[in-house]
Amino acid sequence: MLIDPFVVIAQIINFLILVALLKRFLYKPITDAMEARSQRIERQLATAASKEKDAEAEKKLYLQKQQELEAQKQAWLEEAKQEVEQEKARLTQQAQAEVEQVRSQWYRTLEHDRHKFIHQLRDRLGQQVAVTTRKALADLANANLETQIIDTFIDRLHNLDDLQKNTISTAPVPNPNHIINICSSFTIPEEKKERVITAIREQIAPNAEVQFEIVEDFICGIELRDQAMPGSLADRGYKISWHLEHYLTELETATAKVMSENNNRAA
Amino acid sequence: MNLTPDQTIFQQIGIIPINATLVFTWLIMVLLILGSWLITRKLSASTKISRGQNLLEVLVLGIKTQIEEVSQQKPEPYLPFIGTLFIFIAFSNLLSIIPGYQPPTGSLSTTAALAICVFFAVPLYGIRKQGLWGYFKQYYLQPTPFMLPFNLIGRFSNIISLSVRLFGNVMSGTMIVAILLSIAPLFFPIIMQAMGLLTGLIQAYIFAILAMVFIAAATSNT
Repeated sequence: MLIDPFVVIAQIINFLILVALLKRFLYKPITDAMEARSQRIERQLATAASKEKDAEAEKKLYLQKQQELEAQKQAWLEEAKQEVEQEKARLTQQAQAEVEQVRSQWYRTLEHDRHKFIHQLRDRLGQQVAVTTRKALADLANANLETQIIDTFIDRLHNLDDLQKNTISTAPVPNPNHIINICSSFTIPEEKKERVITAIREQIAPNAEVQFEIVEDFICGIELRDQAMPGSLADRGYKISWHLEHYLTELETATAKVMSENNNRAA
Repeated sequence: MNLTPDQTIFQQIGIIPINATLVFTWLIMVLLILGSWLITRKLSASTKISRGQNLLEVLVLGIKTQIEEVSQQKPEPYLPFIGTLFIFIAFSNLLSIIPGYQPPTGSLSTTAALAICVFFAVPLYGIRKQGLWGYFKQYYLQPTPFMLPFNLIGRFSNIISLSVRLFGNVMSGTMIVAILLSIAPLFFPIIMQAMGLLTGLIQAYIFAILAMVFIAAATSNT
């Protein structure tokens, strides 16, 4: 007989015991461990999801802040740029003004120097002309320049033109003192003074008092100034003169013109 | 040469014969329980686990998956019974590679005992799931009450086929190896032993799956 009832019953009991023991020592612990691990993984996944969500929020916040910083940076840059432009414009303007001022100053100095030079030139020229003329007259005509000037002046007094005569006749006569000044760059000899006084009293004012005066800044010549009293501004408004002033002024004007042209060409 | 390990009696205690079937069954039980206890006494719930725990988890998870696929139900209620069937049969078959060992599944008494367990487990699970009448109506009166005798014969034949199939396969494998050892002692027995390992595992799988199919048929609502 292949089936032994005793063995069958014993094996059934053995099997049931094995089921109970394996349930106790195998299935339950393993199932619990797997369940615990599963729950742990789920918790970790949930935590990871939460952290990911937080990280996403942090990322958004960070990006927003970064954008704000970028915008602020751009605004600052723009502002700084504008300030730099303004400062640049201001400094340029200031530099231009300073340059303009320096140039004006330089021009003024130049102009002053030019005037000074021309003035000096004119004085030197006048003196030189006077010296040369004097010497030429002395050498060629055996004549004195001052004497010639006085003679010419007296001659001009005797030969006044109509306009001058009209001016003298219409000028108001001051009362009581009518003083006529004779300004010269040199000392007039007494003989010539008498002739001058005579000519004045004949041609201009019979009762006028004639005063002679030497003027240092006169280059070479003689001049009649008709005025009420010495130092008074209320003169009668005319003068009769013969000297190098007129020629030298013309020379000064021509020289200044030439210098201006040279300056402009150089600039 | 004995046809069944029942005939190999180690000791006779009164009327109780301590034969190879019982001894090797106890040996397997001790090995399984001791091994399980050794491994499961320090389980880890973390992702870093020992090799033994990994082996047991793979084993238990595989059985649960198979139960779920066959029954289309939650595997937990059936795991201890079906799992123990599979592990016991597979272990007793795999140990046949050890010289001198006689697999308990090579005893018709053992396979009959296991089949009887299945025979009683089916109504127990069915009644627990659907109630007595629900189980009876579903399992014995389908498709019509007139089929009751045939259903009863079918249930008994299931038990017989289960037990005889397992016994026949294991016993024949052992016998073939024994015969080949006497005819061609080199190489062929080794090949047959290897084949025996495969057959043993397949038989364990078939036994457990069929038991689950019977239980599932009794517990399913359709």
